[in-house]
Amino acid sequence: MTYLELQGISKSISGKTILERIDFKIEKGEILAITGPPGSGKTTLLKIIGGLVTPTTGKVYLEGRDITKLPPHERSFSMVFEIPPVYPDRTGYENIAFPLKIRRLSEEEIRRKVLSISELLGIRHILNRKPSTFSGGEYQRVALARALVTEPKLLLLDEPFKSLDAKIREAMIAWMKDLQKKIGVTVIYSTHDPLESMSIGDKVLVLLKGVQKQLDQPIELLAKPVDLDVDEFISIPALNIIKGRLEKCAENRLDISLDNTKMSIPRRITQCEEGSEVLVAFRPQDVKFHTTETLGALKGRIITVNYMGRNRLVSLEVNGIVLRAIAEKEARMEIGDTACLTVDPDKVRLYDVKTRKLLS
Amino acid sequence: MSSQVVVKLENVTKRFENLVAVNNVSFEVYKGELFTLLGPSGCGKTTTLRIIAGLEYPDEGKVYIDGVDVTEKPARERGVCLVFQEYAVFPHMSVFENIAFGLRVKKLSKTEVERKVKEIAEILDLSNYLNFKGGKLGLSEQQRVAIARCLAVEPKLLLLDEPLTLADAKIKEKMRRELRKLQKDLGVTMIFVTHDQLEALMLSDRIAIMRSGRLIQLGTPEEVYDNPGDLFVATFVGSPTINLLEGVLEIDGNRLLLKTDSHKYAVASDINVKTLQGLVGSEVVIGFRPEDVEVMPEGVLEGVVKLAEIAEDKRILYVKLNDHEVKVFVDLFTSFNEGQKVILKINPLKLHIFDKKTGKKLLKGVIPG
Repeated sequence: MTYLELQGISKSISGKTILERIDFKIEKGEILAITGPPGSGKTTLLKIIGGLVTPTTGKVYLEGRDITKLPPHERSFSMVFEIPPVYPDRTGYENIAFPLKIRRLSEEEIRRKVLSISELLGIRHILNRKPSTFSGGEYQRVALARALVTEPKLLLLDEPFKSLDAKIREAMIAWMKDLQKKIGVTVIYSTHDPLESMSIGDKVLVLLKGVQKQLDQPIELLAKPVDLDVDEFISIPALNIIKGRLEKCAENRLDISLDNTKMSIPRRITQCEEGSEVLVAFRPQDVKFHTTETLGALKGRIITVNYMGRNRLVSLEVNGIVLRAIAEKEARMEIGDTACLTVDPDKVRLYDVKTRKLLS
Repeated sequence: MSSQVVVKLENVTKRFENLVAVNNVSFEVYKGELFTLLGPSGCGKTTTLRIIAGLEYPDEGKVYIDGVDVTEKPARERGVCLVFQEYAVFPHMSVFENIAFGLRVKKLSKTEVERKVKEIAEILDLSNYLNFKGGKLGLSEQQRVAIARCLAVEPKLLLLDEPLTLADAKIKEKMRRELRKLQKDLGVTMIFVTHDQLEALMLSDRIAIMRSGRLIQLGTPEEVYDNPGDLFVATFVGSPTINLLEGVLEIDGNRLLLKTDSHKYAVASDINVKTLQGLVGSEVVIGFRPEDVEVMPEGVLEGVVKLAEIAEDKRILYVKLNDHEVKVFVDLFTSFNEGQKVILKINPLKLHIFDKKTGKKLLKGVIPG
């Protein structure tokens, strides 16, 4: 059953469109990750859901009830920002207990709830300490505990781990996912990092320039981005894009000429026009890197090698364009060497040159 | 690589009141290399950089640049240039004027300034931006302008203090590729400071890992990743973090066992146990990276899937063993259910064994046999 639904949400501020055509449904207990570059409207969208911003058009429903006009404090949602305000002069315990005090719960009940949530979040040890002694991860967990202690119907997280070091952020994301499973709270989580959105979200909403581009499970999103803009945004390291020409549209096969080589893709697309140009896109992870001459490969000169621990990111110049490939860490290579790339034809996506839409 | 030493630190110590920010640090930086100071916040990496720049003076030890003792010399006499986290590109000035800034201070002739700026702009791919105002630029261009302004004055050394920290994930990846290429194309010696281990791996020729003011390990990216000298380096470098199992080492036939408080794990089988003989009975921590363990149809190490998470083109399984949890890279399109039993096989060549008390490396790699 649909838990939260947004219908035709848009927002303009003094004539400038911030958000348009936002439509989605989420189920109870799901994590929806909203991802887009800085300035794409993520925070505004979260604020509309939280009731802090009124949409220009559209409706917000919670369990079938229209809550568009409901003030924030009547929604029973909790929100945590990148740098959450934690009261510096109060202990961890007092910070977490604060929203319960406002609700006038008994001291005994407050104590029980604070202890239980602190246990779950692994922060029992900081309850008697002041925030100035917290580490980045502890600080963020206190803010989360305060948000969760009221048992909110929805938890809104706006880039909650952005200012943490990469290592701590990684641990916090796995921890957050595990915690969410235990308590079953419904979460909307925003991040500028598409990889983070796919590791945390049951579903991912891609927001580009205020427009809802795609809403899908991470695996689907990776396999079938709706257009080249989405594909480019979600690909880290940066997506490879080459112009190609459709040479032959056979029953279950497409022949494409690509730079100095040809590629056969075991696929069929509707409206296949022989001789027309297409944009051929593939991720660096889906490219095979060869240090020896390889039949049917794109051949180029190595211009940069970035070691990444379990593998290497190699950039090659192939007839004036730069392509990137993830290579095995054992592969030996030097800048200036000639190398070859082959692409897994199943992992290639074709886009219309004009509309940039996925050809399928 | 030429092994001409550009920078040398000799037993450098710096104290701030009771805190020893840099503790007896020594290293050499060679001409043309990108050398990175890596560590968590508060490890002393920025203070070390500032000591090289001449913005801080050490309490003990010496700093040499091109063989000359510069320990007491002010920043402007050292021939170094520093790029900060906030690039400090003048927003109201054109890119041309930004790059020309240092040359004008040096009172070069107008034609000379023009020639140099154009030359540097060409190298840094900024020729089309020369008339743009600094404030109109994206982060990647701002970074290049900040570097161009430094390079225009032909420093012996370029110092960069966390210059990519403020960028978002997409831009960061692009800037890492560009910066590495640029440094190699120009051959300029750079010292780079970061807390981000992946950034250090991607950019550097060599990495100095610091902790609590001390230099813990110095090596190439491959060396610090594949052969960490202690537990701190092993866990700090690599993402997802290395798996660790704690217990007492035992041998049974050709198997390596680890006895924990509540369980006995068979960590590896069919191995040559000779090199392990001396470690039997020791309290150890056994480390292995998530890419060095596989899910197999049969074997000796059994666990239960707790959580699966997408990571780029792979999936990370969080597998619960008896009293430990490990991460395993699996194929993105193979699905695993929560609660599913899996059997794991660790590549014995990629095992790291550390002393539990000191954290020091005892052994890297066990030979199959």
